Amino acid sequence: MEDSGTILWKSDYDTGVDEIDEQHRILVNTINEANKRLSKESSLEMLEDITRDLLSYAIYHFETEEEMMQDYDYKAFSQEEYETHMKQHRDFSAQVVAVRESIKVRDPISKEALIDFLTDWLINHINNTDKRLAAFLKTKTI
Amino acid sequence: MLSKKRLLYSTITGIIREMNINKDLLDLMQEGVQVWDVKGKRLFNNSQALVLHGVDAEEMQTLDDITSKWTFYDDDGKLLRPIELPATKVLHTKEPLNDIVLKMTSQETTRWIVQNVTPLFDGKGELEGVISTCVDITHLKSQETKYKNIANYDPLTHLPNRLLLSDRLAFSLLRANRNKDKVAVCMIDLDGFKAVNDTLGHDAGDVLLIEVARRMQKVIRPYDTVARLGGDEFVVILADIAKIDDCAIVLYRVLNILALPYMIDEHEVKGISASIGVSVYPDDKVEPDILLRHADVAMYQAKNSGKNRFTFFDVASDQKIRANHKTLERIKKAITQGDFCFYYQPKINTFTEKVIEVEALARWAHPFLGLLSPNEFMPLIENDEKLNKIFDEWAIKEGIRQLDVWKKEGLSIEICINISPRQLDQKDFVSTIKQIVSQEDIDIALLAYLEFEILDTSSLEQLNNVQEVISQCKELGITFALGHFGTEESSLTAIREYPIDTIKIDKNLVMRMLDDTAEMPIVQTVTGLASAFDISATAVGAESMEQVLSLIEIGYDEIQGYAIARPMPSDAMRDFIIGFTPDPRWRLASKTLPSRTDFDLLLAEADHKYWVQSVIGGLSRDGLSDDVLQVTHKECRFGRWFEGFKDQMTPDLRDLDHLHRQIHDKVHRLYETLKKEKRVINSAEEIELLQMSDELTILLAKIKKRYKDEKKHLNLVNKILDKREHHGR
Repeated sequence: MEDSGTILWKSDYDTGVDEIDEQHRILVNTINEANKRLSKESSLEMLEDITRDLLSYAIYHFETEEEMMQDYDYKAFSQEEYETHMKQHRDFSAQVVAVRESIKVRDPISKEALIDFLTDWLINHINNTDKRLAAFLKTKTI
Repeated sequence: MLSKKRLLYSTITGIIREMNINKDLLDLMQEGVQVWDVKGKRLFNNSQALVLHGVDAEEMQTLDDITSKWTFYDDDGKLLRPIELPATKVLHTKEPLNDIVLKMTSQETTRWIVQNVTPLFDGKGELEGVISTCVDITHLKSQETKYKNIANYDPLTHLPNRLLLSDRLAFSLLRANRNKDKVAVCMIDLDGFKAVNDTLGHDAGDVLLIEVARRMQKVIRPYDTVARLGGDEFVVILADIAKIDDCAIVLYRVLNILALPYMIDEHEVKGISASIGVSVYPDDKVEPDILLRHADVAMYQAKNSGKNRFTFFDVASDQKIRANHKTLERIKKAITQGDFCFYYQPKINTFTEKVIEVEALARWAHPFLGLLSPNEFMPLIENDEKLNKIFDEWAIKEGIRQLDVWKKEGLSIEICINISPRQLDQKDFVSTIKQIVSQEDIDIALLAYLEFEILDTSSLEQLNNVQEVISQCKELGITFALGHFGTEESSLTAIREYPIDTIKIDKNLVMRMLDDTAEMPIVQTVTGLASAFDISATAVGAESMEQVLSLIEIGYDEIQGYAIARPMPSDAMRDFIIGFTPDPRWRLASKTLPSRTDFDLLLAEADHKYWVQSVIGGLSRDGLSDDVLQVTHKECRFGRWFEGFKDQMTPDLRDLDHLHRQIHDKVHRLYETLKKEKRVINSAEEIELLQMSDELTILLAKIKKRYKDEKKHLNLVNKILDKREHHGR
């Protein structure tokens, strides 16, 4: 009964840090919801709703992760990894803002491009960058 | 630790002797009294102790005699092993035990007792035995059970009530955690129950509820719980669920059996069914009472989507809603604790060459995410009415506070603040402003330096009080601007309806006007519109010098954008205003009314600039499309425009032609070099190219100015128009 393109949460996506994983599931759900809603019909309002959720996500989720990075001094652990991570966060926000700008000038990004961007981000960021952060955090917490 | 009940007779023999002397008295007691030595051998008992244990003295020689006849349980119903019995325990621990409630069962009967056991020590502190007293509380216990039933069960259906339900639910959740399986909480509400109550009466309703309870108990599994909350609301807890399908199977059985006809007082009642909402733990990992509430939410969805069905609570969307809510709370906190600030972007008048206003643009100095710009958080704020109000009030407060600071520093500059249409619909908006002014202890006359910019004109139409509120604000000296002008039809209505002072053309129009021929006429038209309505027009979003010059030529005096200055903190803004020096190039731009010819020139010029940009872009990405490169100096729009002057070459036009060819030549040579050296353009080459392009702009501006000065403008126009007719395009 799943729609095509629906991302099912795989245990493989779990980083092992509960708070982070919980928030990642929200992103998966948001992508799935976007996929479902936009496949029926795509309106500017819908894109606005979805991207608004993504802006909100960018604030609470990145705050969670970046606070952890600061608390445990991830930068001291690996300057390069820290910078990559931060850059990916900023890129995500910048992309979402760009999508909203494209809506504003009535030249919206296609559904496929939006979903592709989100899915790629999810896979690359969660599966690589976040897992490395989580591995680091696990050495710091019990 | 010594208990106050600890008896400190010199020897146990003394105690027994005392007791035997007073045996008649002890036999009168309601309590059974026994003394046991360290080996568990009976040293003394009164007659009540024998009655309690249903034995004669011969049958109660040792503690073992008691445990062989009776089985003991604690108050929670847990079976106690002989060594866990109070007397045995105290012999072991040497610590007294008080008020222990025990259930003791034999083959014939069940009794409840309360027991106290105290250790007995000799003079040296060696344990010699224990003294135990017990009271029969069987009659109290049976009453308690009855009370417990009243407290825990629904008297009509005898199902567990809300109280017992929460016990059972808590227990099920613990089990689910341990067993790593799921618990489904199903809120059941009958469909059509009210009609039965209304037509057949409450007694009939009660009969129906009893039958519903009976039917549900029949179809659920033995380890599930059905409870009645009251009215026609029931809850089923389905425990030990491995997957959601397991729960669906049971719920279909419930739906089916409840939808069958009922016989009530010889009436056949049809049309009763159930709407069920389900929340599943731990998919929905929340507190038990929230689980019930979520099930309730889902139950209403089931009712709304047609009844006689079950609906699962949408955890994903709930999680999202809650997370979004958290973000809003976070923003609210940030505003109130002062994490928000304004950056200011100057608006200049190119004619008077002064900074005339600054636009206040919010920034969120986030402790972890850094400085966030409005397009990252404003969409969230604007979407929440309450938060929007908080934000707008903060903005007004911060704006006038800054006005006050600058005023005291001797700086008189207008501040423009974006305000949501929603605030302008609040009848008390003006009094809110006045309140802020008096709270901050600021001269109300400063409000004359405040401008409110309305960005979203489309929502103005649905609001009733805007006209009045704007008028009240204007009485205080506040001016109004319409932003994003030219993109929405509603902005046209708005300048007619409201006393607007300024329109600000949308920055996307300005940014694209030189690249997209469709935008330029709109940009031109807006200035005309503004002068027709006798209001001023501002161009925002000017990012390059050529845009600035074009805007001046089109007729915009007031310009804002990166080409002038980027938004900056208030201190930097103050320094910028004080040290402001106008760009000399602004004067080069002709300020005549725009004509068709000027427009063509602008396009030609823009086309050329765009071409240079594309070339640089291409060369720096190791690839250049042929159509960009193959354009020669005669084929490009600029070249075609220039053809019109071939007959009347003046020295400056010759320079222009020369420079234009040079640029094309330069590009071709550069392209060949890069191809040969297999590399991309370096910054020195890029700067050289841009400088040549800039020279072209300046040269053009000078030529235009000369033409204007020599009043040859008209001739030029005619000439070109003539040429155009000959050549076509």
